[in-house]
Amino acid sequence: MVAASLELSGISKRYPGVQALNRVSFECGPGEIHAVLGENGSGKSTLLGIAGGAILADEGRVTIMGETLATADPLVARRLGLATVYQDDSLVHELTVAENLLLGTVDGPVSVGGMREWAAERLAPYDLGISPEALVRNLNPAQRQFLEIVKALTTSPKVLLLDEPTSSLDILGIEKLSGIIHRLVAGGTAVVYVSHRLPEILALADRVTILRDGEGQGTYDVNDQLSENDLIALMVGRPIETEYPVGSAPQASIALLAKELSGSRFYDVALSVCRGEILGFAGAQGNGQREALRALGGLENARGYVVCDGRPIKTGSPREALDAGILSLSADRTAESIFPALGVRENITVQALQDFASGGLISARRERVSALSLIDQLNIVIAALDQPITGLSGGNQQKAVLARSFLHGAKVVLIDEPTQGVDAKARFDIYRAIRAKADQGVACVVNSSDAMELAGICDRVLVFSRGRVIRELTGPEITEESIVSSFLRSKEVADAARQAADVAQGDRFSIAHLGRIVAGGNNQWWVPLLLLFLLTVAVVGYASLQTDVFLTPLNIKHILLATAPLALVSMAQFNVLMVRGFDISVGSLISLTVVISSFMMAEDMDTGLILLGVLVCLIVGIVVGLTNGFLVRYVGINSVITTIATLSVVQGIALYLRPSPFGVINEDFVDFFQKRAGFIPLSFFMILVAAIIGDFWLYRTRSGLKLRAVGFREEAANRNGVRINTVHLRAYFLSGIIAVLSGLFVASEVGVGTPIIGSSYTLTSIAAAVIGGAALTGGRGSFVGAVLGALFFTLTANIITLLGLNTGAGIITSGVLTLFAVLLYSGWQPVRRLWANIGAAFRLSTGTAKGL
Amino acid sequence: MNGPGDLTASTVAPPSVPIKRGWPFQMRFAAIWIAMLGLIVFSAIVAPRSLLPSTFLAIIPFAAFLAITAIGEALVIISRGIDLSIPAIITLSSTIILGFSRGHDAALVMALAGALFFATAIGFINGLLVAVLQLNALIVTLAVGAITTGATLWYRESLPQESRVPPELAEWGDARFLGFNVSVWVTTALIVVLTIVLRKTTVGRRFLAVGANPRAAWIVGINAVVYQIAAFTVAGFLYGVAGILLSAFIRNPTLRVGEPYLLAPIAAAVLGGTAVTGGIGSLVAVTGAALFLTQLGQMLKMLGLSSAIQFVIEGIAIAIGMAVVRVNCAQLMGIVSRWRSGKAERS
Repeated sequence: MVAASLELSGISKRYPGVQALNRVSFECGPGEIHAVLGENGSGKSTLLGIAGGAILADEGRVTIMGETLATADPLVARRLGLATVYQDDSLVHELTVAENLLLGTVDGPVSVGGMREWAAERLAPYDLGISPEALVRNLNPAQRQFLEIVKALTTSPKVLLLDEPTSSLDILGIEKLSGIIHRLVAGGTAVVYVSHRLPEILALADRVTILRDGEGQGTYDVNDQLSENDLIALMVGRPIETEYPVGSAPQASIALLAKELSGSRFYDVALSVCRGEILGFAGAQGNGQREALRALGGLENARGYVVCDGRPIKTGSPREALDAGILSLSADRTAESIFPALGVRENITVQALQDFASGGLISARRERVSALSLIDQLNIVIAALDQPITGLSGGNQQKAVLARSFLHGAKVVLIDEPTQGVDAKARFDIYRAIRAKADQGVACVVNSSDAMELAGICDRVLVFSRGRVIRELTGPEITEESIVSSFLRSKEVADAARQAADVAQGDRFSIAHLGRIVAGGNNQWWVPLLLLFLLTVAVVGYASLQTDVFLTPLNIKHILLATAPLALVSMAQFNVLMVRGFDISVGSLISLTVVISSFMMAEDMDTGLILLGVLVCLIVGIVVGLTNGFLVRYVGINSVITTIATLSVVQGIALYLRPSPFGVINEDFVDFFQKRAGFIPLSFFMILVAAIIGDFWLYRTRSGLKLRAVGFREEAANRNGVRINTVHLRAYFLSGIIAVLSGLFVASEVGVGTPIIGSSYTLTSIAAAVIGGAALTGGRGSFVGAVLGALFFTLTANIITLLGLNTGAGIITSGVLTLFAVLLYSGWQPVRRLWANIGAAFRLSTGTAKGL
Repeated sequence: MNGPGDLTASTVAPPSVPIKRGWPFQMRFAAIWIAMLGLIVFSAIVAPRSLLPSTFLAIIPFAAFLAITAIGEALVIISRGIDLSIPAIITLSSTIILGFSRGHDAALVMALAGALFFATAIGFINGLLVAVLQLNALIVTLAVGAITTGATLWYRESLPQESRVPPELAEWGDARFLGFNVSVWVTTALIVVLTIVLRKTTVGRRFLAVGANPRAAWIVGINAVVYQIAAFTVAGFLYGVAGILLSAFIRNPTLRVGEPYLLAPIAAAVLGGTAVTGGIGSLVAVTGAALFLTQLGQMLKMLGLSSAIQFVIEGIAIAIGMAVVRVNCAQLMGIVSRWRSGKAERS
């Protein structure tokens, strides 16, 4: 027998509250297509993650091409010849197709300059119609999926892992994918294919391994004897641990009615739920059932008509839905349900505080009694009533969240994934609680990826596929098999026409398109530079009309000299902004540099000593920068607080050394920094050249590409093997060292050891970088932009002085410009969203009035 | 009503373990008092004079000013923001007192009201920009602070160089009640009121919920934006109060009166156990941290060390305070998970 290309043996992985995998083994030989099949949450994705080195297994061994994967490291797995195509992709959406492909390769012969041709060559055999220069964001989901596959194949892997590769593909896409896979296996590649679409597996795979609740159910050869029914039986036959609660018959009166409900991932959904009824939403993950549920509770935007208790209602926000009597419990417990900082009691009672309060004062006794009685009745296991909720197991957290609905008089309760990450015992407590809630005459809608759960608790189930309700199951029809088979057998494919429309929209070039680019702010690197250029021209034009002094060589020299330190400190700040941090300590570092200069580069010192002084300053900058980076990255303190702490220390040292301005700085040193060609200071040219080199690094080298990837999407960068911590540490290091350079310029300008001179630079450094195109969300901007931003700020300050305005006016202007800068590139989003919401609410209300 | 009693009792078993009533001891809030104890012992050894009652009475007003600003900062941090506009707002309110009253008692009420109004208004603007436009709190408060400083500078130039607060205010600022300066009592009253609001009322509870998880708060129907704006607004009001007390105490406030209050309030808030991740904070512990920092400064001064060293120590204290909380949690979780997996292996 041929040695296996990939071998997993005895893999176990436990997450808090759930055994994701328990001693699972399988192997895949060269040229084999090996399918891994299992229900939602059966541990398939975890298994792939472990095989690809992204997740560390608790137990077991991974062997790739005969070598054991010693550590969980995607880079090592890649070097051994394994590539992974993730379900939620590892692409950086803000980068181009070619850049993403390059990011996926190991450092090697391909340069950024030749990247376009190289990428075109890579893409050519697959005939995808994707331009290497297109932004990944503008691709449709199917194109992204293929790009992800092409990226994985650029390393010519011996083992290819595919996680649900067809979830976003239409029938043509699936055919194309099987073509690619057949070509690969013909070349001897081992392919592991995770899916829960049975027809595909039976058509494509050689063998199939089945998982059920993290347990391997054996490996089977795919042949004519193996039928869909056999596979379903193997996947679902979970033993029933306890009896499901039986409910009384639902009442006839309708509690919630929705029709023509459409939203981001669901279309034309109609449904009704009676009082006392439990309605289930079923479907393979990502078929719109979750979005539809969330839309009913106001958590997601939708169009359509919703009627609750006979009254047409608006579900524009959770608050409106709650007012109408609809309460939502989200599936994402950490992000959207629990209040991690608060105790168990506070988490339970948060939605019913007014019931325990008189005149706004909460009666601690009534609140406690209520919480305790619910804890008792829902069987929540806690050590103390006010213990932090984060200390509870997943099941008990979920019960505490569920308890909220018992305190709230809602008529409809929407529950998304009631038992995700919940152990078996707590699961049945939760089922009983939901049934008890229904027995109070409340309509419950439950979305779950667990078909057995739906079969156990629901009176009726709607099955979703591709955003539409494709089947309704009632009464005895509801079994785990019937639910699973109705969505697994669905061969319905993605709406090709819709995808085509998406593409057309992305490609069209027009005035409106140009408008979108400008309104999108710094999405395009040249927009901020152009905008800044126009602003500068306008300001210069205005100033030269107002005063003759402005355009004199002396004044221009003055402006450019004053720009140098600000330009440098903005470049320093920009390094950190790129990785979504702030460096508040740059100003104090400037002060300290000036102070050190006044000691070590004093009047009568010779060149050797001065150089030593510069060296000392640079070392200080490096130490401060690395300290910042270390505290942010390895201790995990937020960058603002970290750099405020170092600011305090550095400023304190500066003030200790020079409590007040003293110590004249060496003339030669000053002259060196003020050297000019004609009337233009050399420093300005040097800085501009440095900025251009910086931008070349950022946009034309692989290292710069990695930095931008980290800034945009750290997780994707990590999956591509970028050393994230190193990138962050380098940003703070560079910031420290460049801030010191800026300090040397300031020292040459003031000529005296002034201890607090740098403090005003902190805000302006951020503002200049931001107006030059840097985004606080990371990844965007340019060094040249930071320099031009600094020039603009200096110009404005100069003009205000020339016009004889109050110094207060100068400070006000810098504040206003700063606000303008952040508003320009990040502020319009919420404003637009606000408008859109108002518009949507208006449409919905008028629509409701007309439609019903 | 669908009360909890409607749930049929037969379906659920009673809890097997008796539930304790509270979570008695919160290390993150207690830490500052332990540190305080250590500082007192240390002071007693190296600078016993810093513990004399007369010294204590002399420095406690400064602890009060710091405490008020730190409480404002803590409220903002609890709502997941940060406020660097404190010096600007304090300077503005003290300048307004000078400008509105022109040193006369007749216009004192007008001056105080004006100072509080503008301080609160600037906090409100901070809140609007942060919560509604979702701009970064750091940049907004720095920029609004710059605008405020510029406006104050402009306004101050229209006033005579040597300006003093009205005599009545100066007299009040020097007055003592039960042995303590009035500012101590004003601070105490504010702490009591705000602590009651935060701990005992629906408003306070919802505010903490918004800080703990704004998205979850939105889903349970709390108007998160309003609470975020309120945090900055109340903070602005508190800075205004601090500005008034400070002006009353030093009588001729300059444009640099707010300067010490840029970093110290953040240090006090963080040392008092306020979590920068939001939702956690004790105003009493923050007050303890303000006392701690003030006593620390006094001790250093008595040891003949420059006040600059205070900055260094504050910075180190912020870093250590944050690191201890982080590392403790991480270690604790590590130990728990190791213990669990060990137990799983044994069974």
